[in-house]
Amino acid sequence: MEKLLLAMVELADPAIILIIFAGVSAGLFVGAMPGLTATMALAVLLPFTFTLPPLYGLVALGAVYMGAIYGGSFAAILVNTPGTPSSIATAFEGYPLSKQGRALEAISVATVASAIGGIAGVLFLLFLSPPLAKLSLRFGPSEYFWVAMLGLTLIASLSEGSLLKGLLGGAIGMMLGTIGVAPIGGETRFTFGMPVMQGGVEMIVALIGLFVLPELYNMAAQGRTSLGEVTVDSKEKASFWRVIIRVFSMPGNLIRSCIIGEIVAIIPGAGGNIANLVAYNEAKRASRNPERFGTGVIEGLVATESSNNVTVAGSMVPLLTLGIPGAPPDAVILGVLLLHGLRPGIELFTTSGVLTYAFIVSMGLAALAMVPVGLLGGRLIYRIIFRTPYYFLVPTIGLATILGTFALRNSVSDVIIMLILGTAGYLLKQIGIHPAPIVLGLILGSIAEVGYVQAMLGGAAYEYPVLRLFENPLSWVLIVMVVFSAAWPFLMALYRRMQLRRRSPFSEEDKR
Amino acid sequence: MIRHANTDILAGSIGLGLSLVFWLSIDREIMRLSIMFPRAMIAIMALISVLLLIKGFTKAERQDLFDVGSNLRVAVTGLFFFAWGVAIAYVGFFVSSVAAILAMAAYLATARRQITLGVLAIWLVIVICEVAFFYLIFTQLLHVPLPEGIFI
Repeated sequence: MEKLLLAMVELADPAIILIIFAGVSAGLFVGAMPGLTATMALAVLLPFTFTLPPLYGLVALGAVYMGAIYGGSFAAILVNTPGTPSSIATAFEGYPLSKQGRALEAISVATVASAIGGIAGVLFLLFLSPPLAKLSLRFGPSEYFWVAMLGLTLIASLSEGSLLKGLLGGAIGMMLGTIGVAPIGGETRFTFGMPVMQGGVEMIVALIGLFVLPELYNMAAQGRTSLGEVTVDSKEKASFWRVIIRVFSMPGNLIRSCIIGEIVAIIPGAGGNIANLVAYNEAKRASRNPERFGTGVIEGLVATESSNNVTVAGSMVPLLTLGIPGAPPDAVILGVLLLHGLRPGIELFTTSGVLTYAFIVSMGLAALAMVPVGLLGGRLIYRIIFRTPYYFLVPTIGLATILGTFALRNSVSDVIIMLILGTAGYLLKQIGIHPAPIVLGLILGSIAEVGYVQAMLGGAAYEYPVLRLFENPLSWVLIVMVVFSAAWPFLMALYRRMQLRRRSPFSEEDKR
Repeated sequence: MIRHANTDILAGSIGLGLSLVFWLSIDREIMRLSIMFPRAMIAIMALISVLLLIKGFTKAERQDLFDVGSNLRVAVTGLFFFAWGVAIAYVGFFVSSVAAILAMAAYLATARRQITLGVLAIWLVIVICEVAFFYLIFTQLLHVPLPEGIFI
């Protein structure tokens, strides 16, 4: 406690406040650009932090990270393009709201939910690090496999219309994820004789192509943007205090989404990209009107934005306690810690306690800084996009996507792959296969494959190696969750049918 | 162009076709470890596709295809994007981007307004500034070397 108080004193420095605001603004810009990721922003910032005192450097990294994850929501809300994989589900509700002329309201809700999520993540990190770190160590290959399976049950929610088409989309995504070098065997697969395919299909390349290009083709087809003009009523609803009241009026949704974000965050390798989808799915499942999801529902937006920002500080739990980066950006932060002679573990909270706590609390301050920066920035970006004629907007977004895709691996081939996937995504969307299940399959495919193959290797001594997947109690908990999650839509449909039958004045027997 | 189609049969056929393409491209000498998961996924994808085909013949879902706006504009926009993507490697990022954005904006604008040479000249200046802004951010600030060809 004493160290925490001393840390707060350290943070009462105007330079640190300035760094936080600058970091959040820079992160917001990077996050809003499709293809530019939080990892890239941190990697670019890394050399600049070498010359700074350790606290300044860590604060800058934490602020950029927080801003980048939040910034992804802007593009998702305004142009149906998740700026980062952490805001895929934000587009599901944010973009329909924008089309209804409620863009500012959506941005304000996303801002407040993100800030709450960011602060919740910091609180989890401050007070629950040791038990959460122990839990993260229990995840072995079979648990990873079941986590991926749990994620795949989301397809039922994400597939608009036909479940079979959603499942086919998920399978296509998983197959795309198998292209290139095998994660365990190390051999190349499905390169179709093209050396460029050895690197595989980068998840963000697919994300940009599948989400952005179909939207650009739609704009071109319609000869206009889909962004609606903000109405007076919506402007009032976007006012800060009304949004605060609205977001806090759904405490169950907030708490559930934050807990989901934290649990996903502590699993190394998983992060905001999975948390936002799981939280969205659970919000839909818990909603009294799940059929309205996808048409611009505030609950969905709150769930996705609060959960993905929890993961920023949440993923620091395994990083600071065990030295395991929970997500790719954390690896950069680990590098900075080691560079300054700070080794993850108990020493970080004792010998270097003041610095560590100051870094953790600074992330909470960054979450708070997102509110003014985001509200102002959001209005500015909305005005720019709304006033730009569609014939400039289409090629300009195209420029950002080509740049972002190229910058990922300095590869023109990635740009071509992005264009092919985007065009295929547009065509598949026409027949009812939507991009979300494909991207979900791509994200979870590699996690499932590594878990599955490692579990099979671990069970090689058994007569039936597949039994390795059912061995641990934690696996059983996850299996129950998978079964429950997969059966939920059918159970709900059955329940509704029974309710309807009960309410109907003429039951089947009467008819006879 | 087909406007009202049985999308279950279309989706099932695409899925089955993809399963076949992936199945045929499995290297016969590849180790079991590297292929056990993809093989299972191909089987699952084929199964889902067959179920879609059965549904297509028994309880079909019909949908209007390509029924929003101008399909010609979509096709031309797609061609512009692919030409742009290829040109950055041969012409250079800056010049090809300026040319692609200007050409695309001029083409798409014809749906809404008339374009004169004077308007194009003003747009050229705007587009050069826009591309230069991103070009400088990436090359100078982010240190990402952008593709160069005949030009920058």
